[in-house]
Amino acid sequence: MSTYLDYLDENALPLMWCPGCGDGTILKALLGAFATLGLKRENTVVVTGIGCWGKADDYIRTNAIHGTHGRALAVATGVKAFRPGLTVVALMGDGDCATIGGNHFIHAARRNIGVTAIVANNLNYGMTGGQFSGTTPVGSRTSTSPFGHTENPFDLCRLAEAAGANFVARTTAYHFKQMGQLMVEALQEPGFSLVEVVSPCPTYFGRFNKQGSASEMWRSLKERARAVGPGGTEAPAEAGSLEAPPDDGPDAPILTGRLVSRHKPSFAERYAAVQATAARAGEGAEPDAR
Amino acid sequence: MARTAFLQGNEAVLEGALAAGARFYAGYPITPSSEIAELASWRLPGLGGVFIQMEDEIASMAALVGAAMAGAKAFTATSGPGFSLMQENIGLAVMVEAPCVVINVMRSGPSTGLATKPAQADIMQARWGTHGDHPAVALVPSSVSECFSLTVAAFNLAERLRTPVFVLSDEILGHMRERADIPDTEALEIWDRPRPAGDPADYRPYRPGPDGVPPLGTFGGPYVFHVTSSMHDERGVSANDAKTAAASVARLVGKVSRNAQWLPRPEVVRSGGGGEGGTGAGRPVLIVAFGSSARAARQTMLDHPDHPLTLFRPRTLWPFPEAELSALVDGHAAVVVAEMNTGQLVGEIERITAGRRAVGLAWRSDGEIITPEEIWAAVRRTLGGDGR
Amino acid sequence: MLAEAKPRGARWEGVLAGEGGQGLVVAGIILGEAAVLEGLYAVQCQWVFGSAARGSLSRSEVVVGPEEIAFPRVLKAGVLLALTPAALTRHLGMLGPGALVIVDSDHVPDTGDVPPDADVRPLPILRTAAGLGLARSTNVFALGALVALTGVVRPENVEEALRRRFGVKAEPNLRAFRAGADLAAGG
Repeated sequence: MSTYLDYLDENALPLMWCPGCGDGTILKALLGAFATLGLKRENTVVVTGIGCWGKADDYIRTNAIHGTHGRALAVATGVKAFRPGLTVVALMGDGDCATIGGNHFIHAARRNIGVTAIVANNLNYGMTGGQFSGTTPVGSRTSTSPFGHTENPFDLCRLAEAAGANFVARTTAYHFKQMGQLMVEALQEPGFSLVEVVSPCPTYFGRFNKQGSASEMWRSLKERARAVGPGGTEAPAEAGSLEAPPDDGPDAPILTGRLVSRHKPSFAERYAAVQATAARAGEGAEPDAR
Repeated sequence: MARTAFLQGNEAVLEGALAAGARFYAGYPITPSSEIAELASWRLPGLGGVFIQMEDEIASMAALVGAAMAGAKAFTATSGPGFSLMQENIGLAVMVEAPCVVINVMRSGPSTGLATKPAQADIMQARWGTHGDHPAVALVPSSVSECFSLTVAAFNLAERLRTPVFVLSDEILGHMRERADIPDTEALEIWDRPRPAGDPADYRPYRPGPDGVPPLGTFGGPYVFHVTSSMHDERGVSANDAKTAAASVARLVGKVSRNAQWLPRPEVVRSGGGGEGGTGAGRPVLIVAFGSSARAARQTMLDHPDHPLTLFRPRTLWPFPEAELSALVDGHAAVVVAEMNTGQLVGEIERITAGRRAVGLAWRSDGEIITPEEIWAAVRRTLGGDGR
Repeated sequence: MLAEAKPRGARWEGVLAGEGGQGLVVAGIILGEAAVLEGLYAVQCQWVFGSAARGSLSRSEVVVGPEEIAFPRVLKAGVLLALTPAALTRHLGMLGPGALVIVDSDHVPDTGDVPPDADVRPLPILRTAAGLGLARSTNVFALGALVALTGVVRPENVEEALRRRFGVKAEPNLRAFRAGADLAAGG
């Protein structure tokens, strides 16, 4: 029986992240999910972009590509499209996934490529000093919205659902057990899967918005979570239950759990059928569109 | 089987890619390169390969990097606007040392420009388009036959050097059909990336082999590895110290320059007894031209058979075959560069010529092919002391 | 690395122009294919002026020669085939001395602007092809006339190119090619 330690590069410790950050907890949950599934290191590829959570590959002993800002899903798509048998995981923050990489995010979901996106959403750009991102709530103070943020945030889960992802889930860094369960499910999904982990950034977002100490931020995650999926205290999610809460400010409730689970064919399934058709047709046979 | 065919340049590129073993294409359609994407979508799946149309050229280039690390011979085709978007992840490919091929069927810019018309104005972008110090390898076909053969060479170089390689075609070559000699695939020399050997626990994805190129594992194979866009040590672990950075950049640039013997050599054609001891009338002139412009230069030579002219036609534009050109300069009275831009290559030629001879320029930047008459006029002008 | 340039060989340059959809781009390609089958060298380029795939002015340029073609574009056209008035007027400037100008006599009635040294051959190409039930092969019909009048390639090589391109659907194209040649010969 393997444990998360089998996937952790202990030589790279200690973790680089600030005290009170959620990234270390998310890393442990992810590596624990690898262990639960008994993933082979050789057959697992972690792809990261740029950002605090995008540095997580430094601690992981699977194959990895640390790429460019926002492009993790596009790199991951290349890996998965060419070798569908590999388990491919993209680790992104809200800057990477929801902001500079937003186009890749919606198209990866639409394409239903079998990549698992683990998004650490801390509502701002932690690595570069706390600027606002595509998920920063209206009114929030960040280092580039000193008078309060004027733009609306993305709801990543609703975005993924609308774009066509097979599996969509949300949890928080506080809900370690739920996070691990959802990651295990996501990693087994043949199509596109998203686990959004709402995570605290006490260094910037919390400080700028007077959310108190790190422990107060973690307590807030606990209190604001409303589990709607399996293991939750409320009724399971139904179609359309992703309605945003009326107030989506920094104190709004966080709907957690498995929010979408459906079984549309993945990119790999459909493309394998194309390859089979093309191979039968053989050289020289022109498809109808030509 | 070797065959003589009447093929479009873009078709020949695709044939060359398949013959070289390409099995992954990620791209975004753009005139005048789209035939390559269309043919790839048709031909790759039947070979067990994958064609994927990405959401943009940023993603296309990123996907090439991913597929290359998963073992694919990967390529894309684009034109100026798409090439601009690819620059970011061309840098990624350089840094993680991902073998891949980018075909740029050049069109007239800037921006959308003359979307259906040719230019040769992306050559400095190919050299320096992505930020930071980096090597660049760019091949420049001048015929449909070379669209095939230099695409094969591009894959070979990408693999053996572990770096992105560009094929700079243009709208004229891409869309024209001509008689092309396509060799037997079995007869082609195909190079594959260096592979790791030994204990997987000892594998270092950035430890160079004897030629400066690190062997590359394959995701899903026994060698587990980590590559990164950040400055790194041999293990692929981020390393920010100056010594590592200096050594890394030197190796990245050096692995191309030290293996320059692998690059396709230039063609030199003489007419009218061109060069030293020429028998033709008039003082000998060295013409430097590549791609479609070289076709016009050849016509200039045919149209003026009694004037000693030498055509120096690089097949590898970057790194430029500097020594070969330099050796020819002294045997000529003047040098003329012909290019379809306002003068990009000419600066490099002036640097190599180093004031030994006057350097003239025949240029055109209006989306039309440069003509033999324009090149001849530049020859006369330069001999008369007014090259530009 | 060194090659001695050969003197300029006989270079045949033709322009086939008409409306997008008339198939003259394909006619130019078939001419090039026939030249290659004959052991000659050939280059073909094409233009469509305007964004619409059909209806815009379209031009196919073909250069044929016994040696490798250096410049891939027409410098001075020896032959112009024009099926519409625009196809004629747009390309008058490309004509070389003593060029052969083949026009559709119904659709291009006015050839007054053609230089006096040109050899103008008005032929009822579209009408004759349609009358034979070969309207869809008008391009190949016109190619038949052009090849008969110029002798740029041997007819059997065009027929072989048609068979290779159209396979089982080659028959109407072969008929069109021969009928076009007959029209040019005055038969």
